[in-house]
Amino acid sequence: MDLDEYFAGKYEVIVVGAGHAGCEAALAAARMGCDTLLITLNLDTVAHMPCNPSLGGPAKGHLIREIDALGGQMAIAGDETSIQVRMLNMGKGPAVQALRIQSDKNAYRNSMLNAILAQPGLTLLQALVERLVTKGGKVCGVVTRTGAKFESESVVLTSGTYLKGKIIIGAAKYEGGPNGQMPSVSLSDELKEMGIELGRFKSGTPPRIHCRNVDFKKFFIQPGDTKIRKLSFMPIKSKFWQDKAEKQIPCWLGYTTCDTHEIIRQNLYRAPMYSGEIKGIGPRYCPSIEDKVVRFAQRDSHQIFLEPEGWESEEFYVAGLSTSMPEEVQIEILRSIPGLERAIMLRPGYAIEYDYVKPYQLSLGLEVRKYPGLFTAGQLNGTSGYEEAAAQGLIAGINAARRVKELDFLIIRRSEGYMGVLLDDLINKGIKEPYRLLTSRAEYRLILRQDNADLRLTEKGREIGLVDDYRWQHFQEKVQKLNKLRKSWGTTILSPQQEDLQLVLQEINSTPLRTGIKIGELLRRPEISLAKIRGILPDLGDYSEEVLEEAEIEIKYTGYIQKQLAEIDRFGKLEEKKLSAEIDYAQIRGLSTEGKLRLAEVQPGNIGQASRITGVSPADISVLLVYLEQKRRTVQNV
Amino acid sequence: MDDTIIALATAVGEASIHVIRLSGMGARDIVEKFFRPKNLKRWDSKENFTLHLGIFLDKNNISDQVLVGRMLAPGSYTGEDVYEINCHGGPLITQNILESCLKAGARLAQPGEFSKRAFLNGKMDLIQAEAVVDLISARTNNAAKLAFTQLNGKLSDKISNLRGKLLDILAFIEAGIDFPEDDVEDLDRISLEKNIEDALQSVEKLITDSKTGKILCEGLKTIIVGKPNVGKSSLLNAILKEDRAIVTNIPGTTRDEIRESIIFAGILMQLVDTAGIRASEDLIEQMGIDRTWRALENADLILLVVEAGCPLESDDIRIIQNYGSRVIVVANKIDLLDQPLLIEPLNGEAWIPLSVTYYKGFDCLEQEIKTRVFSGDLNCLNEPLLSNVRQISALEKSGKVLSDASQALENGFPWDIISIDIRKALQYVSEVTGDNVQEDLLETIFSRFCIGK
Repeated sequence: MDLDEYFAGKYEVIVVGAGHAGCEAALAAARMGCDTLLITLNLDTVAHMPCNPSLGGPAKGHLIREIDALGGQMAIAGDETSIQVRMLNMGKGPAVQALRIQSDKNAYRNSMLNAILAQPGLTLLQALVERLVTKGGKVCGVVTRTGAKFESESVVLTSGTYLKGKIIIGAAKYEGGPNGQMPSVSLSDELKEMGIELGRFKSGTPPRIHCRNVDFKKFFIQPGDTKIRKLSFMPIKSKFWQDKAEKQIPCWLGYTTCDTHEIIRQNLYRAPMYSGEIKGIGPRYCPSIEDKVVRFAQRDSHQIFLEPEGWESEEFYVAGLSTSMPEEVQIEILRSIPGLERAIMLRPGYAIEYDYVKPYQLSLGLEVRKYPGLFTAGQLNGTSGYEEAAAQGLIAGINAARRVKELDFLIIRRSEGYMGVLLDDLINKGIKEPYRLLTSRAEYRLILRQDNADLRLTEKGREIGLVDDYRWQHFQEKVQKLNKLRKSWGTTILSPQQEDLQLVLQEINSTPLRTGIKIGELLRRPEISLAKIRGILPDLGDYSEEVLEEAEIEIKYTGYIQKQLAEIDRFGKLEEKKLSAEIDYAQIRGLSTEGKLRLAEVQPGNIGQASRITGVSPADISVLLVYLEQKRRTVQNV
Repeated sequence: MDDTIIALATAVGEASIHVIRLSGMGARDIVEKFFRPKNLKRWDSKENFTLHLGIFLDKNNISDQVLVGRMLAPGSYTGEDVYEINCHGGPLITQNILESCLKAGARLAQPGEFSKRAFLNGKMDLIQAEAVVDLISARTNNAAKLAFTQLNGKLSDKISNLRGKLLDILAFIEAGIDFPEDDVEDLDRISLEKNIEDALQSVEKLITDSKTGKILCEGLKTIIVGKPNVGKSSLLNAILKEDRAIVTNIPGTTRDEIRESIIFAGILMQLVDTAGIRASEDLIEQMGIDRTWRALENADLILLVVEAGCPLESDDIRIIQNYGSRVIVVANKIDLLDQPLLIEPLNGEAWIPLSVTYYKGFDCLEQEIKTRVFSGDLNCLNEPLLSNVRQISALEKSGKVLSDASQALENGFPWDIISIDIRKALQYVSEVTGDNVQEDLLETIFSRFCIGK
């Protein structure tokens, strides 16, 4: 205990933890010109994916696009190391289409590690942080287990599920981080001591198997797309399949059987989920297989996916089979699945319980309000998912740097990005289970599309110094092209004399033209799409698919898009009415009791945010408006 | 704050003239949709602080002669353009005018909202701020939920049922969108179309029902009984003569036994003339007459007048025992009592101590009638009644966006677009029930679909 501490160095920003949040945070801070130190428990697990070997999907894919648009790293690392890409929700509309990629885990780690090592101004270090240094209520450094004391102006904590991590497999339980790592115990106590409120959540992962004995004939092949799309707005090829679609590696779909479910039922008494061993709250959207069998007892089969952990990996992730059953039961479960009769389990599934920081204590810039200079991000804040973590890491890293530079925090609004939805939900609504972003959580879903993430955010990224010249130029070219196309479609008139056009219209049962019509207007007809009339339009060879798609979406859905924009405008005015942190809500007459409590807890930055806090009623908001006006006039009178 | 708000400025149902107030940038446009001024030139002159006589032709083409007051920004009470429609006081007329304006884009004001705007626009001084806050916070935290639970049971069931339908439709779409690789059945446009159509019909039925609600159209069939000399006639005369009671003639009424239609306690009441409730004081003696008993049988509300402090007669007891919760016992002449009246209800009836002579206790009587009508205790609501304009307005909006969803579906729009309208419809219905959409949506998704790839 009485270890001699020594002064080990001074940085502007220190990031603790090099998972998906930590990597983005450290890269962002360094790219914004801050002298940054990134400390991790283990250099070999930088940017590790402890669960599924994939990135993206609805809402998560949107997040990655936004991270990319702001100048983050995740999309680039993902594209570089993808072994398969698939655009999901193709038929369900432009707002909800989302790319999901399978990534080579090791390659992903290396890609991110290389980006970090190559980043000027960023230092990487393997160490275990035991405590934070505070001075005058401000966090200003960290101390490692070996006594190294680092000073800094901002600290970003991204310690994931490591805080008091506890692994549970059947009756076996031990202290540990994910994937055989060691946990961090003292940091959790340290936070509690500082008066930061922690909660406890549970998560889990399925077993991994060796592919050698798998009978793939009993599975349905799930190939990648033939039309290739990327996570990043930048042109980046997979190092494995080099944009040759046919070389992508497939996943495999199979099903559990009645036998599987019988085995689970027989062994339920040994399941920590049901024996009361697990006390942390798990996510509803990611139930264990035992949970699924119990809750949906009428089903005699659940789907599972075999996903390769890498390009040439023999190890497969068994998606859908998350479990904390005893090891030998896990083997039995696996072998009851057609095609896995002789499967070899490489790693068992497990449940992990961990402490998290209750996010109402944060500002929308992800700073712990009680401790200026301390930021938290990622799973530590009670979220789940690589993408949710990376997005928070990016915002925390940006704001840690802006704190150093004494600039206002970057805050993404709900109407500007899924990042905004994520942070706003976390802080204002409070969470009862590990939070996963869903597209249905976004009220302006049609505005927050994956295709326009750059249009929404890249300028912001440039302003704060994250978007480099290369990306900026690339972006501006796209915008110029898009504007040109918008103008052309808004002015070019198609003549009724154009016979091939009339013929096409006839073919698709669209009213023939009697007078001239602008291209844009024609495209707005429900039965018309660009693909159907492309052949008869003036040459579009000058435009990329990306730009054409963007312009078409804007035209086709213009009515709905305008409506959402009007709503954003209406609610946006409330965001401009600022609430100072000094307001003593307990003293404001007319506020409801719960409203007072929640407002004091969250300390919203403006009326708009206040209106979204769970427990704050519309009447409370009216009272606050009157209060603000009262104060404004009192100040004037003085 | 740029939307236009509207509210009844006078107390509900209790005046011969009602004032409906609008405030906001769109107020003029909304009023002009329905108002036909007699002197169009003067109306068009945009002269401030003026009164205009004319006809208000509502969306059902029912007209009423009205006076419209115009007070323009910034000199008006709220500091915005304010229009006040002075109309005749029938509940049908006011409700129609309110609904017409709501349909044209106005929004019902929240409690204290006119004052709030006045304050925020600098029309009130600081000293008045507290009073404004009191007005605002007088509202309970979940007023919508409270109003919903006060609805008649059948009606709240129907609305909950409708909400469940919408929740199911949305959960189905959203589960497919957010968990595309999970075991969620594929969306199919035909069944979705059917489900939307079904929900739309429920909404329309609810709205129609609410309009034909028996009380609003026909009135509460009420009978006043009691043994001679207890003060039935004076009670009736007091009710009839009272300023707040208006005798009306509802056209198309065909029931021959009806003697008077009056509005009392804000509710249209039909005083049933049985064996001469006004003329004859010896009704109880004729109780054996079938006709009278039949009238009691069919009455929605029975006002049984007794003399406070005197023991009940056997006929009184018989009425109470037969009709229980439909009976309000009016214990008249409490002014003659030396001590407080001891009340021991026999069968769920209410007791109201009252003095006709000194005009005491009428407030309690009014309140009791309202409570009984709106809590559904009185078995007079064959079809559910949605009397609350706010609730009707939310349902109407819900119906409107459901039609939009239907249209979008027909036009081949994808799921993410259709879901926008369905979510809105669900939000409007949830305004009536006071429930949260987002949490219930996720709960429905996770309980109905086995999510978890």
